[in-house]
Amino acid sequence: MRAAAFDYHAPSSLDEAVGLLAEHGDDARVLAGGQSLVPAMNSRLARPGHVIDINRIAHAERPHVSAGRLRIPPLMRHVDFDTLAVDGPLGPLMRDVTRHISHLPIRLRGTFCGSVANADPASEWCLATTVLGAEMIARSARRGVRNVLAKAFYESIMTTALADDEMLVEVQIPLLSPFVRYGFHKIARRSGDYGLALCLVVYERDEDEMVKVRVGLGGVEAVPRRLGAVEELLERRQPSRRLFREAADLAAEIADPLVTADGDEAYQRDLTRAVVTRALDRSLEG
Amino acid sequence: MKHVGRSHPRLGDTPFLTGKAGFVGDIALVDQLHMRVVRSPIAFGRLRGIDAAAAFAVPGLVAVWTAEDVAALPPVGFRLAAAPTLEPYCQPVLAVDVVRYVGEPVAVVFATTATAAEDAAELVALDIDLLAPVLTLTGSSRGFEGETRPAEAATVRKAFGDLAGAMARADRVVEVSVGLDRDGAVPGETRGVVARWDGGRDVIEIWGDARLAPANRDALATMLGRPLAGVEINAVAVGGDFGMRGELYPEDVLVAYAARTLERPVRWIEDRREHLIAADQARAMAATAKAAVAADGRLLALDVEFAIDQGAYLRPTGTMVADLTAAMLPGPYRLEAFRAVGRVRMTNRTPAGAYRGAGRVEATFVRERLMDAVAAATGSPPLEVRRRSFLTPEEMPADRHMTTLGVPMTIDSGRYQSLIDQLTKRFSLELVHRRAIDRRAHGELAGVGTAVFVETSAAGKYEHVTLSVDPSGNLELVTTASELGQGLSTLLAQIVADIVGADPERIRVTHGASTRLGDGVGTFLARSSVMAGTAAQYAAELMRDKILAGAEALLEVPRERLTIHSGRIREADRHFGTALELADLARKMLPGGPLAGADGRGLVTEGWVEGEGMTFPYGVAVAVAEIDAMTGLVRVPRVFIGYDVGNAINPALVESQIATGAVQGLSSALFTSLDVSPAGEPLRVGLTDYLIPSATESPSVDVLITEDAPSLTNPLGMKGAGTAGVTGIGAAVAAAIDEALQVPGFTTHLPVRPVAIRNLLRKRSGKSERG
Amino acid sequence: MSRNIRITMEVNGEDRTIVVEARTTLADALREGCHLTGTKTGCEDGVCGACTVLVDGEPIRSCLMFAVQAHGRAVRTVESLSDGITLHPLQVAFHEHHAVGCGYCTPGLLMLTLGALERSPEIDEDEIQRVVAANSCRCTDAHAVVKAVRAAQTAMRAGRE
Ligand SMILES: Cc1cc2nc3c(=O)[nH]c(=O)nc-3n(C[C@H](O)[C@H](O)[C@H](O)COP(=O)(O)OP(=O)(O)OC[C@H]3O[C@@H](n4cnc5c(N)ncnc54)[C@H](O)[C@@H]3O)c2cc1C
Ligand code: FES
Ligand code: FES
Repeated sequence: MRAAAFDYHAPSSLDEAVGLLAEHGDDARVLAGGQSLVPAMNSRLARPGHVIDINRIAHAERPHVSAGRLRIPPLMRHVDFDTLAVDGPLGPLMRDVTRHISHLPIRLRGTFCGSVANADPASEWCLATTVLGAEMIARSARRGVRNVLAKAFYESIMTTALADDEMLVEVQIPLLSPFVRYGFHKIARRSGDYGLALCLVVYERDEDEMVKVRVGLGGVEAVPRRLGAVEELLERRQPSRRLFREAADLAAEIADPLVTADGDEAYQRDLTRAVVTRALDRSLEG
Repeated sequence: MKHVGRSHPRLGDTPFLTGKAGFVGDIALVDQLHMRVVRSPIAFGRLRGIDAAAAFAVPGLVAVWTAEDVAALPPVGFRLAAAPTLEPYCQPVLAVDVVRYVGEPVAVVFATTATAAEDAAELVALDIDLLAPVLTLTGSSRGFEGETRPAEAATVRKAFGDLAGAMARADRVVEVSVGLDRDGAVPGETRGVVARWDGGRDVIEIWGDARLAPANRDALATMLGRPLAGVEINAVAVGGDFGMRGELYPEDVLVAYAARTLERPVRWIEDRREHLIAADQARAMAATAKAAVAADGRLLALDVEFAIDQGAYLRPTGTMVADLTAAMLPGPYRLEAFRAVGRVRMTNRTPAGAYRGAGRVEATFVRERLMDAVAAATGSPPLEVRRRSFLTPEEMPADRHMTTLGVPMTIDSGRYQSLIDQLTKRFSLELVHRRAIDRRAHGELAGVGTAVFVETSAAGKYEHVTLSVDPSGNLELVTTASELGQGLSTLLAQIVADIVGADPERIRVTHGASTRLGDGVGTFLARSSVMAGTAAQYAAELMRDKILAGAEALLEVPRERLTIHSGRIREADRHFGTALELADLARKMLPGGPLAGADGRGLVTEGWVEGEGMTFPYGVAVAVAEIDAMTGLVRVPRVFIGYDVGNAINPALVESQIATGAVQGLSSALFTSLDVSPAGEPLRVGLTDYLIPSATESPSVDVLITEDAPSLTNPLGMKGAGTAGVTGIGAAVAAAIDEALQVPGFTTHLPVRPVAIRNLLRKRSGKSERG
Repeated sequence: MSRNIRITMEVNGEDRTIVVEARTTLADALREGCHLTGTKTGCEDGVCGACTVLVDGEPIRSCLMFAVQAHGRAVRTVESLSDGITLHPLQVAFHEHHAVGCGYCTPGLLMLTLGALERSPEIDEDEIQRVVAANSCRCTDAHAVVKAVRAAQTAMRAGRE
């Protein structure tokens, strides 16, 4: 379990980092928290010839808010969300979600942007960015900066729209209105494991009704996805257990599950029903 | 102060707490080479060629060996239960012509660094023609393409009484088909071994697990064609053994042989992936069991056929697991007749060996699932069904009219019903049951299950210890038995402390000492505390005699009036006045000196025990299960275990062994299995896929230790507890799940798959919607 | 840019300069380069936690950090906990609460829980259990470990006062 040999680079700026990516292309990998890349390298499933360690780039840890968006830099770690202070419900939402990611030592190293770039189907952040309409800022030395919407960013299992020479330099998430309610749920075999299924629900309360409903499913399909039909079913309706069951049934029906060693298609639909029900129920708590 | 019976914190924890303990991977010898094994990626195939040319380009590479290079080495033989018919099933140290499981060693690479060895090993190209693998017990009857050895390596048969008669007289016959999936010990530390040839002494020195050092030294010496004195096995700290480690593996032989042949120290440390595909696995079996039940609900007879998935080769334990499974099937019950037929089936899977509770876990699962089926069939409560058929204390010792591992089985003692009653009272289990009923009434899926089991321990031939006092008054007890984290050193020190009158802290236990003691057997089947404990007791008694004799002469006080306390000898009724320090006495009693004692050896004694039969401890496991109806995921928040140890030398150590055993048992019941794909490729190759329960999933385990039935086979009445926690859990969890679902007999296999539970619940809700 | 790199890190209070390959993990560098074998490896996948050490005070998996990444940083391993005479309160508590089995996972658990307690001295029992759940152990009762950490927390608090 020792990685194949590689050349190590420790750029001190983003310019330098994207320059190195341009130079080495698909033979290079960005090393952020290393919590996904290094296991893959140790088992030699990943064997980049060049590793570009971005951990020595200055000022890449702190998020900031501008133009109504939370802007997350490449070295913001999972634990940093424990103390994230932004106006409105986005802060508590991110705090709730990050708590589900693995365990303290992993959370101290693993980064938000690393999770997004890694595109694991069961990643909490991939789901959250999808539901919250995040924009990914990709930068390459040759073509400069471009913005990619979450919807277009996750292409398939562990595959994103990032080109070989592109680095994810920021993720922007629109702040949430004070009327927003949310519910997150994760079903896992053990505490801290990647989820078998995850669901994040976000909506606004307008009098008694739910509006601008967003329901995202993770872990079950190849990429996290918003379930449009379920959102439509819930839109402008009053929350009730009964409606939530109906929504969860619909989610289970329209999901397009991956089949895994531990679960056939029917089981994946069951998990979908369970996780959607519970995320919706959660949205009424607190 | 009396030490036996006290929950003394473990002696010798400090090196583990400070990082000083020396595990095998911590050894680095000057000029050492690193061995890396090239393993078969194919479950079954003909090995056409091996091309190592590319590997030689790696800087630091020293040698690449294939079967031809080790042709002088015989296959790995048997430690137990050998028979000529079994020889075709022994594993060659490197695959010859055929590969039979993913993970089988095919070649080895030696290099100056571990990294270079890994770089080189992946450049060794294997040319293998695929054959159709046999991966399941049902598949193996078809046989293997081109294999000359039969698919069934052995059949174990045990029987007593008139089975046909009992079946004919039965009011009803209840039958179950049940099974267990593969699991393994998967300890914290992977396997490893380091060897060096000391040319000056012509000795191959080996560092590694020394649990079975005497047997392994003999086997290695024979395989390498050396005198026994030409091989030394040195104990190191061991990161969990559980029966998986310690048995001789092909890698051990390769390292020893290479150290001699290459004349450089050689080190092999396995990585986790290798461990999960190549270290001994266990448990996989399937059984059909029938119970003949009388009109009054008592058991008349058991008739069981089972098959064990042995994997590709037999391990040094031979057919031990099958033998023990068969022998332990009757458990605590009175039977007029019994028959067990156990088939040892070969498959293209990793070889199976022993794992904590070997044979007892399997037997308990089959038998207790059957007892629950009897309860369902007769409409009686599960505990009532068991109570009716327990052997009673009056029937002990009870001759089982069988042998296991060559030893006649006589259940020495046991008060089974009493243990259930005490456990029930102690932890208010009535309330636990009532709460589950109440929760079910509220629509939750909660249940409680119970399993009763009989254990066995001390199946050893003999054990030998020496005890000495040094001129500073420190004691040393030397044993070949091993400390594997079970607290053996502490137990032995407590026993010696009481008898000799010394503080346990002054007693150093040197374990796994095959180089210092020529004999002894080692640690298996929960035998250490019993065998080594008894030997230690004998040695300590002799030591006390010697000390008192010496003190009598020095103090001129008759020995009857002397006491020894914390290493001080003084007159019993005098709390003041002169006392003799053990250190002073030891200096006066040096060998050759005037007071050296009748044997002239000074304060050195030996303790020797010979196998005095097996002892049969017993226990009860109770598990609470909760099922999440929407996901089929099972949680076991609480487990209760009652266990009779005969004599609890250190109750806290026994409790902790039982609690950790229970978590391992729970792991196999709910979380861990070593599955393969349809092509035979292992699916659990890392700890990301092999789900060891964490603090969050570990149930709280309440343990009741009783000392109601001391063993008659040893003077301290000890019974051993190493496997007690693990044995009954699977069966108890299965019963709890059945109760939660209100479907008797639902859980036929472990681990329980959430998918299976959901399939049931889905069908059920479909019906209720229609109805 | 190179494959063999000279690094300097502070290890248990002392500056250590060693040459490592870029691919050498911090775990291997500590064990092989610094001869501090108290740190163990059990999976090299980030799961088991046997390799947990503190880097700049944070408990992290040393199998998932390359040694070059620790250049200029302060690393603490299990060897730093005791001067050989007195044990750290966590070590004492593990001993007294029967929280050591085979001892292979012990260094990792000690550094994990030390790091957690140094970050948040007042975490409650549930939180301690969540922390302990980060590392796997095959032979101690996890609840005994949680109890030990609770006891150590009290002792450490008394020590601070
Ligand atoms: C035991 C364990 C349990 C875990 N459990 C969970 C879990 O429950 N949920 C979960 O979501 N995650 C889990 N993870 C993964 C963890 O969250 C990782 O930290 C995360 O997925 C990747 O982040 P990283 O910063 O470590 O990225 P790295 O491992 O450094 O990189 C991951 C990939 O992303 C690329 N990359 C990283 N940053 C950038 C960038 N800025 N631009 C372009 N490419 C980039 C890398 O090149 C690499 O391909 C677990 C990890 C471990 C070891
Ligand atoms: S070795 Fe680092 S987590 Fe297991
Ligand atoms: S004490 Fe053995 S793995 Fe934890």
